[in-house]
Amino acid sequence: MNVCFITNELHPFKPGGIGRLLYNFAVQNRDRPNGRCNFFFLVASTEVPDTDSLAAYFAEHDLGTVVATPKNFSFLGDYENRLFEALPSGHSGTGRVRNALEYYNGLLYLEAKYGIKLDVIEFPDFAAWGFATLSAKRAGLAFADARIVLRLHSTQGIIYDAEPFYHPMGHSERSIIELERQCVEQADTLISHLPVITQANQKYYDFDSAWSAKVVHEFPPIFLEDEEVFTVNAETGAQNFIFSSRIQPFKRPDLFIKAAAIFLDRQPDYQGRFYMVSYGWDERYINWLKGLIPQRHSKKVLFIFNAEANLRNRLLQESIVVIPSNYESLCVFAYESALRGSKLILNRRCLAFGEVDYWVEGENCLQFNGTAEDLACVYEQALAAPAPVIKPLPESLCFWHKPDLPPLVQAKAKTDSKLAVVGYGFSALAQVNERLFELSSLLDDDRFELHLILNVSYKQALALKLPKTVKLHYCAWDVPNPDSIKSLLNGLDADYLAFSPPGGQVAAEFYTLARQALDRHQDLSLISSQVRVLKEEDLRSSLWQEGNRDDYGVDGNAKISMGGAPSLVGMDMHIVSPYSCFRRSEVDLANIHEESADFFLPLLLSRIIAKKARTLVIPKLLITEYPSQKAFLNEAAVLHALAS
Amino acid sequence: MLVSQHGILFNAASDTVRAHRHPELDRVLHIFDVYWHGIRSATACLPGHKAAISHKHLPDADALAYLCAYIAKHNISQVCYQGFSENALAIAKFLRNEFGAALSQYVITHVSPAQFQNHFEMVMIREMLNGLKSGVFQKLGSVKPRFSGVVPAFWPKTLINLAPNVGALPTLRNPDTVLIPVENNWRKNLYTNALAGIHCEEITKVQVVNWPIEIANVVGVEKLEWLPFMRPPQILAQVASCAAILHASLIECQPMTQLEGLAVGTPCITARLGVHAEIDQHPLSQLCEVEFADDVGALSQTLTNICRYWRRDAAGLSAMIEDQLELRKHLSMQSYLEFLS
Repeated sequence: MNVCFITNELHPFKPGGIGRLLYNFAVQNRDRPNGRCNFFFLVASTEVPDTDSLAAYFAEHDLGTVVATPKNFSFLGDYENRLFEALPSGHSGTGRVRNALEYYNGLLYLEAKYGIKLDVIEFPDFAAWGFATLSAKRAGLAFADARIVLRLHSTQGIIYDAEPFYHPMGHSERSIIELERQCVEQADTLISHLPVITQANQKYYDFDSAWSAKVVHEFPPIFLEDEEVFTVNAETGAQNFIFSSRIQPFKRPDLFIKAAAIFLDRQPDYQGRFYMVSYGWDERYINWLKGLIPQRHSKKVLFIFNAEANLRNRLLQESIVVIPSNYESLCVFAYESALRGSKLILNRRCLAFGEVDYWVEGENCLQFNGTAEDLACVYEQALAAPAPVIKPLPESLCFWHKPDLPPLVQAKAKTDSKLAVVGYGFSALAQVNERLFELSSLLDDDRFELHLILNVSYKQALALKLPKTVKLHYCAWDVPNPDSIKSLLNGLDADYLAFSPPGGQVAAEFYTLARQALDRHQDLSLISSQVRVLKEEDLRSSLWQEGNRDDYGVDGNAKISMGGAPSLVGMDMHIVSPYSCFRRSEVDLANIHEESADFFLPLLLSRIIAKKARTLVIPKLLITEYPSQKAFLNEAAVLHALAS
Repeated sequence: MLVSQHGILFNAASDTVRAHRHPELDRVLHIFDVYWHGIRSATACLPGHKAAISHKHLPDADALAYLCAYIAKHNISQVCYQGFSENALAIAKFLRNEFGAALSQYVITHVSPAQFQNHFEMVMIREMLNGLKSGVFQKLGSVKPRFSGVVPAFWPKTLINLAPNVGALPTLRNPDTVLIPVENNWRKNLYTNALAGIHCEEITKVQVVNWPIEIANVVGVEKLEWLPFMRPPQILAQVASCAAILHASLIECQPMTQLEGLAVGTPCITARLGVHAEIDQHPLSQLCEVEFADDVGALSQTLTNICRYWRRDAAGLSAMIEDQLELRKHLSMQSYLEFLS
């Protein structure tokens, strides 16, 4: 079985719980007497600089094959290669989709390079890295037989929920949360380490029981390597306290420091130290934390950044481990500390500690109630507490080693569905013919209908070779008013709908893929694709003649859709392309407002998304949009109406 | 992918998606210039591999190496230069050195002797002849009928252009609109065509891509409509939307405007072209060709006849066009097979 993990951290090269777990999976797999899987680790070349060393280390230790993502997007297509490459990376919805496309491209590269088909592709739930790969599978583009798995660690959304006062809920943050939610919702299988965390995710995302049926619970392999095993010196001299999680608000390093200050004011003769042995990236936050240390205690509360393993181990050996996190999905570090026999102080309000049977207060840990005051009291108790009991960990058998993988839910595909595309807004007969030509390959298929709403002045035109799948309708204007569209829709018996207004074009392939996806996946309601956008100056470029003359000679830009993102409704008029395809049953005709004029379509689509319609964004540039025509309505007013 | 960036552009979509197929001719490589639009449009319809070059920049060593690898990979043994330039000559000499007798090379000129006013054309003819003499080329041919009368060393028959291969497209057609997609110059005869369209009583709209400046001095311009710039897909859609194309120019070889019209079912009115006896005698040619290119009355009457034909028997006119397309396809394939044999 070929199993691929997607990651940007791997022990022992980069700190982090996910990287440690992946390493543990690899060791567990290597040491099995039989039934080994072929493990691949796809790492982002943009984020992991020294992939060669990583690959060499993993190969030397027979842990699996480390593959760096290619530096281009060439496995996705010509335009995709150039336009996705030009997308901004970083902390935004678009940046996250870029990462997701990089991994999707990397997986295609990996399969081609090694001549294999992957059976399992596992993403962490964080950062929506699986967005493009999941979309590609659901669109029928790739990975038809692969199981795409998300492991519940901690999404950005869950983290934001656990640190509510640190993040502005702007377009970027909402986009990231929505992208992650769609990945967690639509993965084939979800792996959770703790049932309480499954429930927390289900509650946070408001998922139904069909989602929880896809979740598999298993305890991961957690162990200490030889150099990590040492006897904790609990009895010798002064005991220290150590915080060695990542410096991030929901890990609550502030509680560690605040409680230290309270404790030290009460125990001025205490000879031990409070060590922050950690790493982080937010300088402002770190400086704020440093500012919490009263000057009088500055020699007893110490920051040590990016410590070497030996130093960190020595400090752990001499210290009481404090994990004050608001939220953890498991916390490998806590279990490692317990295995080592460290005294351990945990936040009882954290579900992974307070609601998990393994942790027994007074037996293998101490717990506090989530406040600095209480933590300071528990510091005192910890100094006097006896050595903890070392409990064995739950048995770990990962799903790829089980004889039978949990079955994938596969609904029977429809085959007799009908897709109707409604074209309107033509200001010249040539534009009508352009649409007919673009879609001519679909017009012989009885499952496709093209409805063209034309100015009544074209009624005299000769219809030549028009198949019965093309239906002509007439109205008084080039652009019909929303009421006439409403009455047209009333009479349609199609299963799926799409509109084809002026200002863009759609590859016939899009409609084929969209219909197949809606046929196969009954949970999906709306299909879009990523969009190529050409500005007015792009359309006028003289470079058209130097290349493909059917095109413009310039690439334009990619406009990235966040898919089904209800929290963006009212912030963004273009959550999905107006050329998207959706189930007829999603259209509430009441939402086609007579006064919405040219905005009726974005209004309609936004309201479908606001109802939490599951959306698939095909990770290709199958839709091209040109500058939209000026509408007389005020866009801000329309957005306001959407939000209300 | 632009020719200015890559030196040679292989099989661009616009050079291949409307091409015909033929088991033998699919193995020919056509080399042509990206900027010479008529020649490029004609080449785009031919079966075979397509390599677009530029007369402005010679491909660099990497591009030429790729060209050699491409020829070797696809077992190409015949190369046709459609139109000719100094850069085309340099590439031909390079390929002769690289492949020797394993590669046969041909030049097809798309020029009329009336265009020799542009002296460049005669310089190129001289280079073609030199190449023929030195063995760089095996044969010289032309799409201009009777060109061997101009230069006897050219193949005595005519290579027949193909129309774009777009299949039977569904179309909505205005039977009262005519399109004149020509430049405003003496050769293309814009004013004659515009006057013929304006005078035709069956016509309510005369679409032009270049405005016949000052024509209002002699006739009302209410019927005239100017169309902005279009790319090939838009051109085909525009051409398909009208009753006919008016394209009676003074000098032609085998105008692609006519063939693009036929491909989407639109007849094109021209002066007599004399491309091939069988085409000359075809009913569509009889319907659409006029004796004199500057005979406004005859052009207008021909346009009237076509408009009435559309209203009377649209299916019959469509079938007539399809029949000529089939004939042209047959003649074209035959001419290329014979020329390359």
